[in-house]
Amino acid sequence: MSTSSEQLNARGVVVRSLAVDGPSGPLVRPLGFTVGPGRTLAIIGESGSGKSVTARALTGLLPRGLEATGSASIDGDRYPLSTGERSAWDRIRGRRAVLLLQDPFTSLNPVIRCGAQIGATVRARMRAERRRVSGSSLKLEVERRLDEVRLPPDVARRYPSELSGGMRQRVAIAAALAAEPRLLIADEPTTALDASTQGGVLDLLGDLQKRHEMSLLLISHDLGVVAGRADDLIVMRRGEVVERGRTNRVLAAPEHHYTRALLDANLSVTDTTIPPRPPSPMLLTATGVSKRFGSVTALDAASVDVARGEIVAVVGESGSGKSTLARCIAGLEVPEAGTITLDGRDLPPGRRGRHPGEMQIVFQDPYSTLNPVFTIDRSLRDALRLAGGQTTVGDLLELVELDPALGSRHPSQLSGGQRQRVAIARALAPNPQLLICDESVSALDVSVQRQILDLLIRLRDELDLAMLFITHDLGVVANIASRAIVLQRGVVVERGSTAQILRAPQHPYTKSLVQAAEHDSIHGASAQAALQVRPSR
Amino acid sequence: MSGTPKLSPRTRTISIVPGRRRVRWGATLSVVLLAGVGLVALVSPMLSDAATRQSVLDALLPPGSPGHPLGTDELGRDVLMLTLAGTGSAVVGPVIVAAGSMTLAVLLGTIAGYVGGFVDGVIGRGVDVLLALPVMLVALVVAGVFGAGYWVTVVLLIVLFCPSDIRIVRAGVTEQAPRPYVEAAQMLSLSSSRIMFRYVVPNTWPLILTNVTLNVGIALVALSSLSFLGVGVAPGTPDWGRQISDGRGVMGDNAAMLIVPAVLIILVTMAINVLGDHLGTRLRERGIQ
Repeated sequence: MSTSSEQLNARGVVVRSLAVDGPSGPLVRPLGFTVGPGRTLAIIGESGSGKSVTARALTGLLPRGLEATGSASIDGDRYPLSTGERSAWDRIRGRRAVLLLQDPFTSLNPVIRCGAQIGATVRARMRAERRRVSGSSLKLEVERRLDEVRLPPDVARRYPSELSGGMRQRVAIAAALAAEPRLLIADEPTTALDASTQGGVLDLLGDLQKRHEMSLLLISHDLGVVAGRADDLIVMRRGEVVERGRTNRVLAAPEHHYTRALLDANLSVTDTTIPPRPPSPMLLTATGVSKRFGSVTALDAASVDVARGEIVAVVGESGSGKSTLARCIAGLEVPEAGTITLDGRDLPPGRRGRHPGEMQIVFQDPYSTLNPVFTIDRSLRDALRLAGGQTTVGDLLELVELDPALGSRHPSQLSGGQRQRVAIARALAPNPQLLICDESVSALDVSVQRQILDLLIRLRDELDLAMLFITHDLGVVANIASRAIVLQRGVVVERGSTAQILRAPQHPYTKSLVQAAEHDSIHGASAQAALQVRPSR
Repeated sequence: MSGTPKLSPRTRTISIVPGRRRVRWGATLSVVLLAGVGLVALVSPMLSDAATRQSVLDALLPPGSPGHPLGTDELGRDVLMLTLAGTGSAVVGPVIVAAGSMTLAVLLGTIAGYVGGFVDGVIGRGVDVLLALPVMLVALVVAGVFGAGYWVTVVLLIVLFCPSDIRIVRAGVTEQAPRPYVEAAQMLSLSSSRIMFRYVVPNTWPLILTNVTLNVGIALVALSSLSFLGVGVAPGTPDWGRQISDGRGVMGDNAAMLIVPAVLIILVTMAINVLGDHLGTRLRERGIQ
């Protein structure tokens, strides 16, 4: 750290003793950092770490009820973080510092054309610079900005709903950059995007940042995203900085045990731990399953089979039809064609005539998977109602390694991981032969993901359960499935053992997925060298 | 924690950390007012004799007259007693209207929203037809055919309030139906009626409750308006709407006769809405949306 006068004159961003207080205590303990021009600082943390609150505090966008203290300076222009006055922020927000939000599906206004959304920022900047705003100069500038994010000029006339997620995030970036900010804060900029588009968007961000000499503050839960992209790294946990330093150093030789735990929890695609299963008779066979939604073919003659005690992954990006396949098998959607056979019996399409002991689903979102008005106890008792066994609610909770005392709580009083455990317990209540996991760990923090996957593997071993695991995450596939099928636009493009698919993908689409996953993996190219000096534990 | 900022109720629901319990004066005052009104409504039938006692000598006394704090009407009836006695018909009817129409709506709206398809279509068209009817006109026609009467009006209002309630419940149910907790219940092969009324409906409680309280207010105004038009309660019966209607002609002599029930209608309607809002917020805070 240099002296304070030097810091004040420094180019780039200097943040001093930023802290955020909530109604029931501090959310972020005082922290300071500097980000030089053209440099990238990453703040890493799981949910509740205070990383997003920190980002919002810098742009005065905290939710009501939270208060920030401390100060920041951008290129020597110092401003306090404590003020709630809108006008005070007008000088900073959208000019010097811009916040890029996570979800490109909601951060753009759906009823305004993309060009106009970028134009709004352009116009504001031109006004601030006292330049005359004319229709033609605005149009030219918007097209220049679109070109910068590698989008064709005709995107200006489109509505956000006509664009893919990746394109929308590019539009959002163009709108952010049109303000020519000195500090760009990207809060989980690619978390909502498919793996194959994530890399492109992140690389683009890096390029633009270098070209504009911007300071970039990258907020993420994913160490893979920041490896090779951030110069410096801050790891936060429960509002406190647990570790900071050069990214290469932190990844190679983490000092704090929490950082180490995060690194270990990161599911790698390269070390497949699941051995192929010895051949056993098939439990589930789904053949030629097709489903259309209006004019869109969601699923085109897809087939999959699962043997007893086996975990098979269904891999694909959003819109690939992987969830539709799961829902058709479960009877939650009625397919137009195809047969579903379980244990030698043909199952009817739809839920009518199905038995709860045949198969159960564990859904993705731990927040809506349990009935909010029921206690855990009540939810599980309902699940046991038709099962008719000797199993009690306590047994179920024990099975998923939860304290039976949690039974009296409502879902809102549990963490995401705990809720997902309850959801697994509920699914196991009727003693199903097949468990379908539809992105069951995608919404969880990495360290919790690992625990849930371990639980599922343990349950598979103990109960000889067959599982169909729907996921977009090849890291998850590598760590749980022995076989996988890859879906692209409703068609199965590749099938084989996990090792085969991850190490020697045949189809170009599978190849691109594996490449994207490897690129984002901290065990991938950029951190490979660093990893070799990682001390053994 | 003296330094923490005061939070608006809206913030409480979106804030990340649960805040402290605070006394909400709006809700507290509403409860006190409604409890008072409810109590008076209970005893109001007993006041009806005293209220309807006429005395030509005392006609049209101004407010503040000895023995008649709010004065008297043109028949010499005490306005205070009249207002108190009118509380019953002013409160009971609207509550029955709101509760009755919502009960029907929960039944039909949930089935329409959850089952969907043909059933939804049939219920939906029925709702459209009822919604297209001009409420006041129908009330006047029905009163003309069946004769004016309080309970006829109440039943009529239930039928007329029902369609918008059905739409609201249906919207809430269609929002809940695709949620994973409902699909998980379907996977367990629980019966449709169980899923509908044990899983889905309780999760639309804030919506239902808020609308019931809104409707009590609207029904109170509607019943009063109909009484004002001479359709609701029989002439001579103590009733706030009736009082406003009768008070119009004697405003110059005793304005209290019109103003007092009018202000009461406004206050009670407001109190019910504030309370409904508060209860909805509380439920939402408990994780039910």
